[in-house]
Amino acid sequence: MHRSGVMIKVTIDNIEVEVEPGTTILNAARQIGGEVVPPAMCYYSKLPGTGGKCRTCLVEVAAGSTADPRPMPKLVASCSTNVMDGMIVKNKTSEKVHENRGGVVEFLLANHPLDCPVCDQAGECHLQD
Amino acid sequence: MPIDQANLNPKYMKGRKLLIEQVNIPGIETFDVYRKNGGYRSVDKAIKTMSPDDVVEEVKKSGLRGRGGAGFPTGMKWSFLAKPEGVPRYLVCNADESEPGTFKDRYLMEYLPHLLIEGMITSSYALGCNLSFIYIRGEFMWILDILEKAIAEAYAQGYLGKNILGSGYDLDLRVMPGGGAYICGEETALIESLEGKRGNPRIKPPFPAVKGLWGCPTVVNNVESIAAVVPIVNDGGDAYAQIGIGRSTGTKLISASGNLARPGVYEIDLGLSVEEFIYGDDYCRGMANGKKLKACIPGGSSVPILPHYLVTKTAAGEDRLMTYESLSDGGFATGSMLGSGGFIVFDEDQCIVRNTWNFARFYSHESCGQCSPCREGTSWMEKVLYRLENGQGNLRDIDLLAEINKKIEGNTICPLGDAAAWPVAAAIHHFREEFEWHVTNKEESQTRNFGLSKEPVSA
Repeated sequence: MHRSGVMIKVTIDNIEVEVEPGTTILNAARQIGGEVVPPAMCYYSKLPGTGGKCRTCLVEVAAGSTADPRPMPKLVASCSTNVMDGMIVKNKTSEKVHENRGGVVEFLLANHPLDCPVCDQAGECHLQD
Repeated sequence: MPIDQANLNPKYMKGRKLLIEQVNIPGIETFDVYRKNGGYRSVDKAIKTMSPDDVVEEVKKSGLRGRGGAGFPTGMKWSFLAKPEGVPRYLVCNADESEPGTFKDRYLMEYLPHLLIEGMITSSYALGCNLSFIYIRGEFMWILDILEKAIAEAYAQGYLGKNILGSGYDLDLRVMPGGGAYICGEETALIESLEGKRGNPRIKPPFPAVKGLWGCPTVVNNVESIAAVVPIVNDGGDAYAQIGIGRSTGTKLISASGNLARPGVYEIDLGLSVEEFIYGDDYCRGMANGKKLKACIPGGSSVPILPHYLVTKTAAGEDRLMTYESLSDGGFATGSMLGSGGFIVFDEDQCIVRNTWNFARFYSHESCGQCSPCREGTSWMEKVLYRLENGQGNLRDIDLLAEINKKIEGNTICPLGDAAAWPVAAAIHHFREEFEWHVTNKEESQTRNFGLSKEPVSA
């Protein structure tokens, strides 16, 4: 597993995980799995240039890295932000994330036809959750 | 709309004009007249006597801050430019001036095209670029012709092309028109558009200084910032820094519009008081038709609006000055921003709800639709404001607007979402009474305007 030898530590919702450099916050959270994983609607790992658009995967970065522990001023899209060593991410544990993610989903639903039975994504859709 | 030339007669103006001093000289748009009046001195000076780093150093010393709206120090931006070996670097001039209320760059390019070209040559030399672009807004097609003519003249005189002034420095300058989208004024969207793609802002980082145009390091600067490099190189950065107050140095073009007796483009020393600017004889000469001032947007449509009692004085009772700091004094609650210098003034007959709706409509139209908060949020705000303006709103709508605002702000890829949210938030904050009046007096609100807002009684 230690392919490059260098692994970096990142803490998401108080759970520490070791990942390879260049991993996004989202993928690091996916390695932990479960409740910690932010929802992501526009991100599909196989497509180049994917992600960053739907903003449902916003997370709070409480500390940027060990070298620069300042928090990031804004919520960041976890699918397009790479982890740094010593980064502390708040997803489920952040009020701000809950509030703003709720807002984003509200925006998405505001103009969304709720014709779930005819939609191909039905059953696998985060909006239904 | 032709600009009243009498406005700009230097005889009527005080203060030193660095950029538009020569605007009234007949034929200044041609190379010969421009050269005779001291044009292209900065290129001679920079290329013959200075190293590129010297020029960057002068710009840093001048304290010049980006004139496009954000006010980021230009010299610092330049020094961030990555300089890997064997990779070309690009300088792009952002002439996609589409902020409602701002028309200073158009004026500069229309009357003094050679000033911009001179600035581009000097700046490109400082940054070591061999190919530079002027990205011009799609609606400015006649300016495209003006610039291309001027560039052709500069090529003919040896100021552009191979081996400029025998120094061995090569520079090609191209003008590229956009398709007329507001979002292309955002630097990464501009770069995408320049590459021939749809103008969607990129996700940052990487920043353009590292990975910009075609993946190469790129600097994007506003027209006025680039033009300001000319006097900075001519007279030195220190001389430039002496004008202005504190961290707001130099002169700034302000495009004043709205219900003013004498709207137009003015070059002011930063640090001029707002009162002097609105009422002074050298500037706007007060409100048109003797009306009262109701509100003012000091920096283009995307900055917070100020009610009449906060325009000339800050909340603390100090004089408000035309500087980056003073205009933003009081933060969002009682301040605004200098922005791009699109100074819009409203008199007592204007309806703030209608104006806010108009801006919201603009932003919802211009949102690129890439990320959801901005795409959905701006059009939602537009719908709610339309309801309020047309007497179909209810009191909950006002809180709904504030709620939507909060959810857009800071959650988008580029600043357009913020730019759409701020003016609405500020309008509600300062003119809530007027919004409520639109709900409680539905029929009356369709026939007359609310008038001045009352100053809150401070406890």
